[in-house]
Amino acid sequence: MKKKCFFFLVPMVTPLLLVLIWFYAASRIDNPVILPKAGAVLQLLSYPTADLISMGSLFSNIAVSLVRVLMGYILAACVGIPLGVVMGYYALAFRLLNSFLNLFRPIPPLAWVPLVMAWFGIASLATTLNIESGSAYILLNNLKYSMIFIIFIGGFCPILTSTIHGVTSMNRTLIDSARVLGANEYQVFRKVLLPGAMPSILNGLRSGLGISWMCLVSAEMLPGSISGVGYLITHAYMVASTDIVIAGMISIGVVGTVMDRIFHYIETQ
Amino acid sequence: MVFQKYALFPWLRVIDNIAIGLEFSGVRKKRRLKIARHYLDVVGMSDFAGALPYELSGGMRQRVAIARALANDPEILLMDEPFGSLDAHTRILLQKELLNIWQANRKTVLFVTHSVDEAIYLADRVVIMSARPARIAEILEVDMPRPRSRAIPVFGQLTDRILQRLEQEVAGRLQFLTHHDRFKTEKRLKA
Repeated sequence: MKKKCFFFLVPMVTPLLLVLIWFYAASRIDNPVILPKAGAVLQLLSYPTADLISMGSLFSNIAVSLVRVLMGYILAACVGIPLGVVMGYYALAFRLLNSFLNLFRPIPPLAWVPLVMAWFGIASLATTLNIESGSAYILLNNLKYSMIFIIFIGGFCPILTSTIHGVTSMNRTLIDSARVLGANEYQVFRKVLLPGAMPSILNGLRSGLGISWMCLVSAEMLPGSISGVGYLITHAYMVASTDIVIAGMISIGVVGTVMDRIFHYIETQ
Repeated sequence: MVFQKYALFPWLRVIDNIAIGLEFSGVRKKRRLKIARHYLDVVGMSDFAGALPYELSGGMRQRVAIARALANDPEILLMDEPFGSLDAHTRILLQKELLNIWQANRKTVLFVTHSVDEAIYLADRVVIMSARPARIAEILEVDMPRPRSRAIPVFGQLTDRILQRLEQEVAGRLQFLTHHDRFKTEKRLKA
């Protein structure tokens, strides 16, 4: 019983310490633009549905951000995993694509912003589907291709790399066993390669999600963004509401952690 | 085919591992699980149907591997040093079990081994191969009735004969010897 209490309390010490320092520092600095009072931020966090200087509530912004990230991320997974499996299995595919893709890896997603603006402008799902007005428009116009592309770029590389690694580090004996037991190529892919590489793939998916979530803020700094947590942060700063900025950052961190925990849970299953 | 190590699919339960060959051939789930159950009993692992490979010992894994190979009803059972990574006691145990299983269905088994003792104990016919290039050097018939005892003189004589032959192979190729030269004795159990 004592041990359990201990285990639970120890991780809370550091955040509590930070909050205490914050309280102290805020009252010393006494300038809400530089460091808002912890109390103000906490108040913002405790009313997530309240409208913040007509930028929409914290909740709705987080929701929009989540949808965007999920779209870009799922796209990255749908392209990255099959490509990774093919590249891991067929040496020809690997040699063809690997150096090429490696050229793009060091480029931070943020560096894609100017190019993406030139390509996609402020086009979004709404413009392609020709929806001009109404609630559907509001919803779909938020899902801009430019942002989804950036999030896609962010998540793609880790997913691809770990899929390739998962496939190549599979024991050849397992693949041989499958062949000797009469599996055709498709069955080898689906029933042997995929499950065998799954730990590595899941690992990559987890990092990919983290990076995609981080790309979010960069993505939402693009012109044409009118909602989302990243948008909230950058525009709140412009109206000197640093408390909103910090509240936004905390929510980014929390949501990111929650997603990671969910992943961890999936992995252990 | 039964390999030396790492051949069971680690993400499948024992029963699913045995049934996997049938799954590849398109046998329906109910039927293939039934067949898998049968071979599970044949190798004596009935209590471990739901276990995962990492939970099993080396000897148990090889038994499952044998069941998996048999479940496909192959014409020939190929075994590549299946007992090589097991301890001596388990090895002898599994040799006996293999013979028991074999008595029941009498499939042709092609068994690759480095152990002369194992070759003579199990085989109807021992094929000695030369090293580099691997060619058939000699074929010996083993005529002893089963169950075989290592105590009878014929066993020792055969062992000696094979070992001498192997030594000849070594001597003949002494100038090309490296650490990795190995000599294989193959044996076939006739149906």
